[in-house]
Amino acid sequence: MRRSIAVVGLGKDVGKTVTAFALARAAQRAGITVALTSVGRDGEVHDVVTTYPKPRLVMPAGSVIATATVLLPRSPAVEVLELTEHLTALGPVAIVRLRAECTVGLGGPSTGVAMRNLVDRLKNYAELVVMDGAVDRLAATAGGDDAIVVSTGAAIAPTLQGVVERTCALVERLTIPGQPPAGAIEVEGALTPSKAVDLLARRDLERGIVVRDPLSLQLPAALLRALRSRASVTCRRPLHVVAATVAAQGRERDVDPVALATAVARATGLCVYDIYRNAVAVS
Amino acid sequence: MRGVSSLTDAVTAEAVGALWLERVLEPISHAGRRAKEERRPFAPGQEREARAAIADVLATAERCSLEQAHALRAVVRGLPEPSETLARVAAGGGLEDLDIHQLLSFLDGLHTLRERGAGRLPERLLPVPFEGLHASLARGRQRSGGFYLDGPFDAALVEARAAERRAREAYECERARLREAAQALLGDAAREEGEFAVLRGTFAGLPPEGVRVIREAATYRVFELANDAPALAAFSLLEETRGSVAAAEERVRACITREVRVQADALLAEAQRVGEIDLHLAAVSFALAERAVAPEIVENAEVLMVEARLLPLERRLAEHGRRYVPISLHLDGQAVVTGPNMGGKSAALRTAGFVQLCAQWGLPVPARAARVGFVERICWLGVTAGAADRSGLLSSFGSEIVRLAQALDGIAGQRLLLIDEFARTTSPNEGRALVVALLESLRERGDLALVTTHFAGVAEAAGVPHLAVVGLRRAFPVSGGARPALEEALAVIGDAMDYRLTPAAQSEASGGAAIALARLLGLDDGLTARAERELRSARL
Repeated sequence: MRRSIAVVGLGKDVGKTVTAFALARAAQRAGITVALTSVGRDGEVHDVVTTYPKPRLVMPAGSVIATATVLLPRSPAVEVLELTEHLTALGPVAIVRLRAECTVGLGGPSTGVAMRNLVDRLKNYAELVVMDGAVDRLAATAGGDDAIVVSTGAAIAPTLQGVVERTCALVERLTIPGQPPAGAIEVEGALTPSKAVDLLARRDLERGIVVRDPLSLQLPAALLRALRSRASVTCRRPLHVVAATVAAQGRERDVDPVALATAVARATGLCVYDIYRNAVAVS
Repeated sequence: MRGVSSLTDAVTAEAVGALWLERVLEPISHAGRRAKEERRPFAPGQEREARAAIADVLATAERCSLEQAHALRAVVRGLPEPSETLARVAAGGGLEDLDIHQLLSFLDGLHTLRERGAGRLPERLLPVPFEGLHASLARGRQRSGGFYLDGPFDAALVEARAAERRAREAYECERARLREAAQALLGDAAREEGEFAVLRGTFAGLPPEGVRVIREAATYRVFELANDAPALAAFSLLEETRGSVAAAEERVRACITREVRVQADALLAEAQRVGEIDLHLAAVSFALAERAVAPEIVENAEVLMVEARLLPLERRLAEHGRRYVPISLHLDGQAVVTGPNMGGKSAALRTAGFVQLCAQWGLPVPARAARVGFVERICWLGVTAGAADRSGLLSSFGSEIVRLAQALDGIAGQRLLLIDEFARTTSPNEGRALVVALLESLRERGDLALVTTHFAGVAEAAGVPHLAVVGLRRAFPVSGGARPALEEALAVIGDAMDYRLTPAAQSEASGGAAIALARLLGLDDGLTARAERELRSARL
């Protein structure tokens, strides 16, 4: 079955792009044709916001990419497959195949619906689609057979413990199970703190709570845990988080890479890869 | 299709189904939308052109099934819009690979349209085959259907790419050598291109040759491979060959650009023709789907329609499982239409407007037969959602008068006025006097006008023809049992009502069914019984 993997990060500089790129390269080595796209801009030389240098995306020949037309390399020439109707701040998105290895910039659509459509179209050209994503655009992938990789790193919190806690909270939210029990309390739209407080006041919480997808849970971790301690929280369109990656080096500080990978693996129960060390940690 | 605003205002457009027609005939291509913007309805004096346009649509409809028309439209829908690219090239700009891909798709589409449209579309709408240019651009077509500046364009490009490939392989060998050496010392982390981290516990010495430190942390360091002299030489050669490839690609692009520039004007004309095809096929689909016929277009203003259908109403009725009764009438000057409530008087007015509209948009009309003379404006004066005075300063009567004054402003004798129960909200005596006076005035002006009213003796007083809805074929069932639901009541009314228009034998006020209708539609029995008693005593 043709599949896709979305790489989502907890913030900037957590190795999201490096992870997406590594996944694409690894699949290519395994003889799998890969397509790559990004929610928003990636692959630029410097971060548009922070001006820090960004990783260069050198993609091998045969890769398919979906990106804003202005980011397409003029040389080496690419094979133009489709000009889509999806627009970005940088212009329309084109789907092209690289006929020679080259450095690419990625700029895909920023809405979940457009991204879903683009991923479906990319599946016509590649066996695996990798998207460099954003958590809040993931809703469109919910319920499908897409896998999700969570990227985290030293850049998101001042301490190792902080990094682990924030990562754990995200994973907890994204891994809310499907298959809601019959008669569960249905929550329309986002489950916000005020709705959660109302729910906690109910006496029939044993029925369980069901939301549309994990991203409907717009709650602080503590409130979600409080809710889960009293009721089963499920969703109609689950996501499939399969692994996490860690980046020990942040802009401001570094943490011990082994300690980070081990702690994240233990806290989330996920298989954790340190892309930079080519090492893996399991819980 | 030909611009609502020039023939009708927004209120009239809504009343006579122009907005519905616009939606049905909506172009599906950018070129079609542009062509639509440029079109105007046919005006008095353009009867010959209108006849030709309608004949054109019907000729295609003769040669083409609805499915075939839809299939041709699907080709139009899939065509890219090359006008911007062509204008840029004509102005001296260059083509990008995406532009060439778009032009190739455009030429593919033109070819398909020509092939499938031959014998169906009018000769003037058949796309020109740009065989030479098409074949030239098709050299870049790939098995995927995509476009690539490939070998067939230029032998030098093939050679440059082969040289680049060899140089890249040589450079990759050098990098593999460096990576292997680094991996032997630093472990598996060095296996990938790019940055890699190594724990100080694993390796704490000086970095080996071909590796440099790019970040120091307490427990680890981040390295990347650094080119040594042989790798640098290989890289230098690679860069050189890349430059050659880029130059060869630019040469091919420039060559294609020149080829396209020579034909840019002709291609732009073809893009415009696609817009015309889009509009034509929309009209053909309409004619086929609605079994529309060519109206006889005459020089003098008149509307004759035989079994004409007001399509938006026909659709709405069908959605509720009800049948639409086609309407026939002849309006050659001014006429009064009377009949019971819900007898189809307003629908008759709207149908006349719809038929007029179709003819002036150059469309066949949904009728068994029709004869139409052109007017400058169609004006609806009556009840519609958009007609109300939104400022709230005017009463219903006040709004009506303001709209009438606006409608009468301008050149006399070039309008079709559809006036629905004018002055119904003022005192009956004055209301009747106003309607009679209005009809007399319209007769003097020579405007076409169809006027519905419940006032008695209006047509006779104004000296204009009087048409009446045939009316109830039978009495409504007497209440007593459970009151029918609205849908059911409407079905009862529909079954009992004969909506046809006939010349009225005498000038008489319409009515007689209002109280029965009110009862059927849910008004309290006691209240309607009182109304009947009051009516009887008034007659006595």
